[in-house]
Amino acid sequence: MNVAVKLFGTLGRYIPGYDHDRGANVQISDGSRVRDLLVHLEIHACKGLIVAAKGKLLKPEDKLGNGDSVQIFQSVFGG
Amino acid sequence: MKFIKVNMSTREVTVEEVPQAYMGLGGRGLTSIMINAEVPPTCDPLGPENKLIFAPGSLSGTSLVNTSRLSVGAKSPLTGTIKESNAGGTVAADLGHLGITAVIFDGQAPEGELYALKIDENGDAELFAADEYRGMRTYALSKKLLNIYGEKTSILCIGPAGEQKLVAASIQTTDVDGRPCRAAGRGGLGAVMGAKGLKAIMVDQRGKSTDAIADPEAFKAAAKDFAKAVKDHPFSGQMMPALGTAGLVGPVNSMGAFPSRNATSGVMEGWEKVSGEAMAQMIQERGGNTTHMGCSQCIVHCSNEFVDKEGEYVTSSLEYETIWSTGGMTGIADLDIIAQLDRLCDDIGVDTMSTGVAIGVAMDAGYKPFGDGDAAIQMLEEIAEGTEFGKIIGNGPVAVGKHFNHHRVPVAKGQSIAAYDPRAMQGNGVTYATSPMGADHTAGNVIGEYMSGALNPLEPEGQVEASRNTQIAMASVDCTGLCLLASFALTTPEGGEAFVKAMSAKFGVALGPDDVPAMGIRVLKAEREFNRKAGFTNEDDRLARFFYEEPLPPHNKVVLISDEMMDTTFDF
Repeated sequence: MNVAVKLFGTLGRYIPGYDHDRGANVQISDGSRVRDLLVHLEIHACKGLIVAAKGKLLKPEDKLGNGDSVQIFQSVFGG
Repeated sequence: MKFIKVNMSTREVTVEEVPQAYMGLGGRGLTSIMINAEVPPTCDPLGPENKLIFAPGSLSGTSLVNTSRLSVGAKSPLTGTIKESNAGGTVAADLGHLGITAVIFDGQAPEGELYALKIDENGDAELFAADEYRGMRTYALSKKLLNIYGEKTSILCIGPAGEQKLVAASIQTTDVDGRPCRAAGRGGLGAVMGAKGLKAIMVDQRGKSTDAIADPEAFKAAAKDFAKAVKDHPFSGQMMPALGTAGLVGPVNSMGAFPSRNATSGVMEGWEKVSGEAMAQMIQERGGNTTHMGCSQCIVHCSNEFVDKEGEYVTSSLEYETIWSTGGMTGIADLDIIAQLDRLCDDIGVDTMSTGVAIGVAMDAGYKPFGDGDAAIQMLEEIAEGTEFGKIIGNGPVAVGKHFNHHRVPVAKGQSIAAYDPRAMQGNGVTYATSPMGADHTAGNVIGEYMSGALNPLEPEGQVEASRNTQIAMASVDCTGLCLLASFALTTPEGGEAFVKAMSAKFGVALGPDDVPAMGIRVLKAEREFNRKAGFTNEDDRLARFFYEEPLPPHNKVVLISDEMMDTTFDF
C-alpha cells in the first residue's frame, strides 16, 4: 500500500533527495504498523519520534491504511 | 551573598548580607518567598508597597552550563496574583559573578521623575536621574547605554509601554550581542517598573566575586557530566540548535491543539509557512543565523537571528509562543510580518504573548480582519504613540474584550493562555487554571507526556496528576537559574545525577533526588498562600467560560476537567 510521508525537524536528512514541499511516497506491505514504516525509512533508531495522522498522535503498534498521510516529527518543547 | 535594596521613595541604596531566612534561595524561590513574607497581599501592584525583585538563580554565575536565567518577581498588575517572570540573556550570570543574590526595589519615585540604577564591577550600586531616556524604545536605549557605559554592560529596561504603566508591559534585557531582545514578558512587570519610576538597570559584566562553592572539585566534575548530558539529549543537542522552539509549530498543529484565530480552531491555516522548518530554511537562504547563542554559558543555542529579504537583521530570537500569538491567533501566516511584530514588541516593551492574543481578540470582535498584517503592525505602533486604542491593546486581551464587549477572551486569572489549547491538551488546561501565576506556558507544560504517548491529551484521566508533577518540577528548576531547554537533560539518569551532585557541591550539603521536588513544593505553597491572602479562592482556579462551552475543531472537545478535579491539583 501507499503512504504519503512528511518528515519534520532534522529527519529529512535521512532520506537522500528528500524535498519537504513534496514529501515522500512510500510503498509498504498491507497491514504495516507505524513501527514498520519507521524501520522502512531507517529512522526507527532516532529518539523522540512523534508520528501523527489525521490530527492524532499514533503509537508504534497502530496500523496504517492505504493512502494515509503521515507526519513524523521530533520531540520538542517550547517557550 | 548580597541584597542590593533600593527605596525609590527616598532614592536610598543600601547593600546588606543575605539574612538567614533567605539563605540558599535563588530565582523564583527567592522572589516568591520574599514577596509572600514582605509584600502586603492586598497592596496596589502599581503603588509603593509592591516590591520589584530581580533574582538570578542559585547556580547563576557558576561554571554550570545554561544557568543565566533571571527571575523577576512582584505582585502582578495584570493578574493581581504573585508573579515570577523569567528572562535569559546575560544579566543573571553577571549578577552571579558579583555575588548579588537579589536587587530589590520598593517605594515609588514622585510622579514625573525617572531613574536608572548602575551596578559596577565591584557590585557597588548608584541610582541617578534618567530624564534623557524618557520615552525611548529599548533598541535605541540599549545602543545609547552601551555607548556610554561600554560593551561589557548588561541592560534591563522598559520601553514606552512600561512608562505608560500598561499591564502587558514587559521588562526587556540584552542578549550576548547587546540587543534588548530577551524578555521578562508575562504579568506586566514592566508596568511595575514604570510605576516605581525606574527606566533601566545596568550591570557590569566584569564581576569577579561569585559566591564561593563549597566543594569546587566535585562541582567541576558534576558540571562536566551535566554538560555532556545536555549535548547527548536529542532535544537539547540536536533539535533546539536546528530549529529552536519554533520546531513545536508542526507537532502541535498535527495534534489539533494550536489555538488559531482567537482559539476558534486547533489547526492554523497555512501553519507550514510559519513552522520551525520553514523559518530555518528562510533564515538560511537569506544569510541569517539559525543556531544563535543568545544567553551566557549556553551550549544549546536555540536562538536565531531573523533577517529580511535583503539580509538585514529584524529580530532575535523568534520563538514558538510569539509565532503562535502574533501569527496563529491573528491568522497571519507570514513570517516576515511575525518577525516585525516580534521586533516591535521587544522595542516598545510589551509581552509578545499577551499582545498577539489581544490583537486576536480585537480581530475576532470585528475590529480588523484576521490575517491583516498591516493592521497588526499599526496596533502595535499605537501602543508606542499612547493613543486611546493603543492603551487598550497594551493592557492585554481582557481590556480588549471589555472594550468590544466580546465573549471570547482566552485567559485564566486575567492572563492569556499559551500556545496549547486546553481543550486538546487537557493537562495544560489544568496548569493554566491552577498555576498561581495565571495561565502560563512554562509553569507546567504537559506536552512531553503526550509526545511520548504516556498520556492521552483529549481525555480528563491523569491530567491533574501530570500537571501537578510538572508544576512542582518547574518550580524547582526556576530556583536555580537553569534554562528550561537544558532542563530536559534532568530526565536522564546521567543528567539528573550530575545536577544533584552539582547542587550538593555548591552548597556543601548532601542532596538527594527528593530534595528537588521539595523545593518546588515549598515555592508553590508560598505562592498559593500569598494569593489566598490577596483574596483568591478555588473559584479563581478556572479557565474562561467559553473553553467549557465551545468545542474546538478538529477534535471537538471542551475542557473536561471538573471543578472538583481542578481543586485536587495542589493536594500535597
